[in-house]
Amino acid sequence: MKSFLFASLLLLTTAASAQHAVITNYDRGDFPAVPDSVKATTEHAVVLRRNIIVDHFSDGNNMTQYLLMQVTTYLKDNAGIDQNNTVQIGVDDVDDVVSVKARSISPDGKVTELTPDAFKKSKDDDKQESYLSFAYEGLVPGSMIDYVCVLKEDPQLRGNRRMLQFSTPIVQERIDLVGPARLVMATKSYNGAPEARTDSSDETLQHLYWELRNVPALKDEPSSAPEAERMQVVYALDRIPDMNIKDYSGYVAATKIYHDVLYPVLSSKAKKEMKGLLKDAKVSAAHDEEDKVRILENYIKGHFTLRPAGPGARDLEQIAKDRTSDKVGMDMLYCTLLTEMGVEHQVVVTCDRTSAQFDPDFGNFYFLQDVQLYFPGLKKYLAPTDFDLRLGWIPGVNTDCYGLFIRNYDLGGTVTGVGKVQSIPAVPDSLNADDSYAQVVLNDDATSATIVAENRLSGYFTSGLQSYYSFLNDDQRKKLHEALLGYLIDNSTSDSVSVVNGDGALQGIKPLILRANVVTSKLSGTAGDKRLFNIGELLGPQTEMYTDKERKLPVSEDYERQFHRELQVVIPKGWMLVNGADLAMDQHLDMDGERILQFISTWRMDGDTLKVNINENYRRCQLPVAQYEAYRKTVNSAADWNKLKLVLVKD
Amino acid sequence: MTLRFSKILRPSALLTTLIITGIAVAQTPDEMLARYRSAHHDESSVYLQKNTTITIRRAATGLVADRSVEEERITLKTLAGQTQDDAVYYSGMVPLKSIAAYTLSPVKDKDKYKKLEVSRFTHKDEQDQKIFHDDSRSVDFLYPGVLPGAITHLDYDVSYPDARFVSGHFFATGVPVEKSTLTVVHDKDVAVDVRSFHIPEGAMTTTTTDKHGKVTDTYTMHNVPALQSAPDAPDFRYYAPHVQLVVRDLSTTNALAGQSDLMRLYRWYYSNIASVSATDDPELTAIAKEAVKGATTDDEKARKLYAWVQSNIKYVAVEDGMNGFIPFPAAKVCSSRYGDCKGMANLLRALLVNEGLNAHVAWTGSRELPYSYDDLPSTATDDHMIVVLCNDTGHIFLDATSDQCPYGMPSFYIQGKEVLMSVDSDHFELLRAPIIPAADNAIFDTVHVHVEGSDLVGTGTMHLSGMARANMATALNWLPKDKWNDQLRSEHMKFNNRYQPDSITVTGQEDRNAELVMHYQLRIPGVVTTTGGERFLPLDLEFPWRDEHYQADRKEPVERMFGTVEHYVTILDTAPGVTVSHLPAATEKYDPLFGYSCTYASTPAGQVSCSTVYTTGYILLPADRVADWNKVVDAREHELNRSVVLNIAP
Repeated sequence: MKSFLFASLLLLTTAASAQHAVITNYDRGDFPAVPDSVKATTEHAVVLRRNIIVDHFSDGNNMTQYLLMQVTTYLKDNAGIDQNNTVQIGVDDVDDVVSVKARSISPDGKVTELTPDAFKKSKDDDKQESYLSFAYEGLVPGSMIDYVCVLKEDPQLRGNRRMLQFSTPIVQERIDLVGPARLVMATKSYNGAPEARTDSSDETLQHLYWELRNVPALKDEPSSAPEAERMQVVYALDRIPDMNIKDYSGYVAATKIYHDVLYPVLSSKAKKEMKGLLKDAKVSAAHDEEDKVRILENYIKGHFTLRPAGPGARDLEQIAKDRTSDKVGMDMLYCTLLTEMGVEHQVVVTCDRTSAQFDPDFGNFYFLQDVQLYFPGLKKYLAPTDFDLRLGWIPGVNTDCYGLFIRNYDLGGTVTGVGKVQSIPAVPDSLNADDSYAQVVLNDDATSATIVAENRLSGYFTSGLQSYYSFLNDDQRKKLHEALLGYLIDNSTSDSVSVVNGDGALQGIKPLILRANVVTSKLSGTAGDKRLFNIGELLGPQTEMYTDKERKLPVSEDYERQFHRELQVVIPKGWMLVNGADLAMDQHLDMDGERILQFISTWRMDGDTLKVNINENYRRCQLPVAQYEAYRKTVNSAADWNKLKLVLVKD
Repeated sequence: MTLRFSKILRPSALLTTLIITGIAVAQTPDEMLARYRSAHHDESSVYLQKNTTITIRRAATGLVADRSVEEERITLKTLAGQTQDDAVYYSGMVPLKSIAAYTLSPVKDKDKYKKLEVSRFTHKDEQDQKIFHDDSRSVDFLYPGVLPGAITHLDYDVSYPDARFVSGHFFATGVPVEKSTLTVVHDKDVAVDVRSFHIPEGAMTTTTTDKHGKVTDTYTMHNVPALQSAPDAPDFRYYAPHVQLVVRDLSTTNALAGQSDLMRLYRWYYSNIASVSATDDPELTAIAKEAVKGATTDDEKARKLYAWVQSNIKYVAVEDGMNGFIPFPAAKVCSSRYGDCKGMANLLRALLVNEGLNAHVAWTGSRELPYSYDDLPSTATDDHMIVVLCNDTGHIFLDATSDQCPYGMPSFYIQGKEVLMSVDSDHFELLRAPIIPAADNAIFDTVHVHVEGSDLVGTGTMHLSGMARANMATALNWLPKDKWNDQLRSEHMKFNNRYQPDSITVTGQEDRNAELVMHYQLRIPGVVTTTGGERFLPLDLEFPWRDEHYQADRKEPVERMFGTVEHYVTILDTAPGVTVSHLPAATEKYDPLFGYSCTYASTPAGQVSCSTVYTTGYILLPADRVADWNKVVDAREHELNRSVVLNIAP
């Protein structure tokens, strides 16, 4: 998002100065008393105090942000020391570390202040991986550590977020948002965070703050999105009354900025390069609009690569020559070429819903993180910068949420963008399939099995596989087969594996098919004179959610999915299956007359052949906590089935 | 590398120019691509050449070295979206002098290449998870215009302000290398001993020329196959073909010229510790006195002092510049309560010496390094410092960085490694850290279970000793208690992943030399099958070798942290009236390095038991033993499918 914020902030500035007094007069204070409840905690460490001040200030000709952070932590034991004795603060987008101090206090009251040479700053030309690091000295169990630093940064006035809740508990927390009174900020609190309060002590400032005590830890759980669910506040510059500017950070303003960037006015040389690319891609050979898009996508994804931002990374002429661009440059390339081809499309800007939930009612740029494309005529999406996805699939975390759709509108020869917030549907489970088919013939005494198996993958299940398969060498393919079919081919006396449709151009069109012919005894067992066959293992390893803990977070998965299985086992003459009934399972969840989740297995004997059908479907990416148990049971039904054995007795 | 060197003077650069010219004249891009695709049908790229030139020079400060690297690679396939990036690593001790790179990109339908220079090099500090701060840096760059058939070319130069730091040359990479040459240029009064590792007989050709007082040696390999990655393989230096260098200054002004390589190395190392060996700090004396309170023997004192450092000093490595070689003073480490391996060793030694014990710092190589000081008396052989305590019984190896290591055992990552113990400025002892026998890293686990419906339910007790104890204790100390179940479950999954351990209590956590004992409850749902008056259930519940069947034709050894002997006993209390119908037969397979036994028994009191012992007695299994290992693993895996059969009273 930051890469799009090049609109000049000059008009917002007033006069040169330094931080506001709220930072310059900040007193880091003494170490706080440790509450008895903290001393008795089972946590290795607890944050006693967390103070953040965000100060928007006019600094010469530009708006500047000063960020003050103070964190005081109690270290209960050696593990607490191990996990906290070094601190690394990311300073990628930081213009300057204005000040930093760190100290510790031991239980006997000895304070150790770090000297300036203790602070190490890593350097990175691209400011992608820069850190300020330091190590506390003299720590023992029961010590407290405390740092306070002030960073000078570019302001994120059009939208930013502050987290109030983490995976460790916090005793006392305060966030202050300070800026000139003429710049009116809008804020919104999420997930139970308190609303902003106003400090009116200085009428030249707009001073908002949030104050909390005893914030519980909210820890990660399987199939959850803790970052999106934790208490947090989002803020953005809303208006500047003295300049009659309104809705400064809203989705209307975003529409114009994104459109201007993604549809640049081309030089004649750039136009020529673009035409050359389309000729090279052979889009003119396409038989319909969808084919046009697919040809273009395969061409770009097969011939271009991504690089970090930098000179030339968004220059279409240069991109055409170097075959590489940054993400924005890649988005520009698609938009320009699609326009040149006359293909109707829309830009969709959204965010990873496992990180933040796009709020259609609070316009700001924080929710505008990821750019995708939508083709209204095809009713399909395209991910311009995800090279292992193809038309019809964008990252699952960018679906089942809202996004800002920007369509082109021709205003008397001038094309402009028109934005609208709409929902982005998830790709239906039937298009994201991991289906299995197996025919098993047991040998005469049921101690070995000949298995012909087929695994058909589609949609997200082919991501990272189908487009890469042809790139792999023999050894790498062998390892991939092992990884995908090891549950069948490991420890087998003979096996052969073949792969069909291992070609990126077929992704989204044809399934990736893996076939294996195996003779193995690893699935066969004995119980005295009985024979056992681990039919469940034909499903391959299954996800499980057996650990039973109180659930706090809603269910969040990247995408809807389907697993359909058809298994056949030929029982040898002289043997009889005695526990077929164990194979039948039915776990499902219906909501509003719709089947949302299911694991249903059925069986029947057809002569000497056991025939099993299993349908496992997950038709929601997100479910409320109340439905977690049904979700867990469905997942575990597959894991339970995975452990089933056929029991055969002599006929 | 300067422009002057790259374009005019350096022999390898001249060679490259000729090759490129040759390519342009003799073969079109399409022909080149076809030729290499034919020779390497499924590879994504091939190095046409990968050359290193090391020049040893005499400077006012002593011998210095320059390394010039030149790599040229043809791309045979491009992967959708794969970035054609590369990086070169350097540091304050090995500064980067110059770098240049370009792509010869095929021009469509024109049978020629277009040269596209890399215009942007991004320098950044490198972050290492194990090291808090050092001066490692990298320069990253992206090749433009990489299409199938494109040839990328890289030249860079680094320098060594001290030639003793110079490292060698690796002939292989992850893709095939058509030709790889190391060239070493030096004066006659400098000897450069090139030691080769994992180079097949006759695979490397060498030449020597002597012109105008300069000796030029070359070492060349052709058609070097790609290195493969394999699970549980040791560091690539254990199997990759490469050479390392030992540089000797033979000049008459060098007082050490006549001494052995190892003595010269030692004297240099000693100069790094001589000024930081003080032990007479009041705080150190006071801490040592306090720590050994109650100890009546030297052995007890040593145990207490080792434990004090393990408990109170945290591993935080600051290794910029010569801090990578010179320890921080013991008093500084003590007051900071942290240090790197050298600082922690220096402190431990000071505390031991304060109490009158005969302790010495010592250099050694961690498991990542395959060399011995005899193979390679150079800085490439070690990367770690420990303390050696000398007493009446011999030597005790104390690694202060291993905070759960039992007293008397070397940490697992230095077991079997040579140890260069400092005695004084002129003397050292070359020792070897013992490999702790597998039986001393033992797990004894006994569970009592009964049947509830289709579940096995019961209680268990696990005793861990040696490195097995250290490993588990480290994890339990780090994790909050509500994660202990997950830890036990992931380390010791019983039968299948429905296994649920619970209510874990632990004793022995505080004493590193005591057994760690874990008491727990367990339930394994759905493993009991009841049909036709019979009940089938598994009692052979643990399989520590799960996922350790390896590709039989692998070229790399298999590495594990330490050997173990693991005993697992399951005792089933049957309900009244239930009789045993079938017990699986006893089995065993043993090899000198590994093996197992499994026995079943029943008692008149109605108990049925299964006792399994797994011996894994290696830390490095040679590649030619992998097939034997697989046979034992596979046999054991198949036996896990055997069930006990009980008759249920009607």
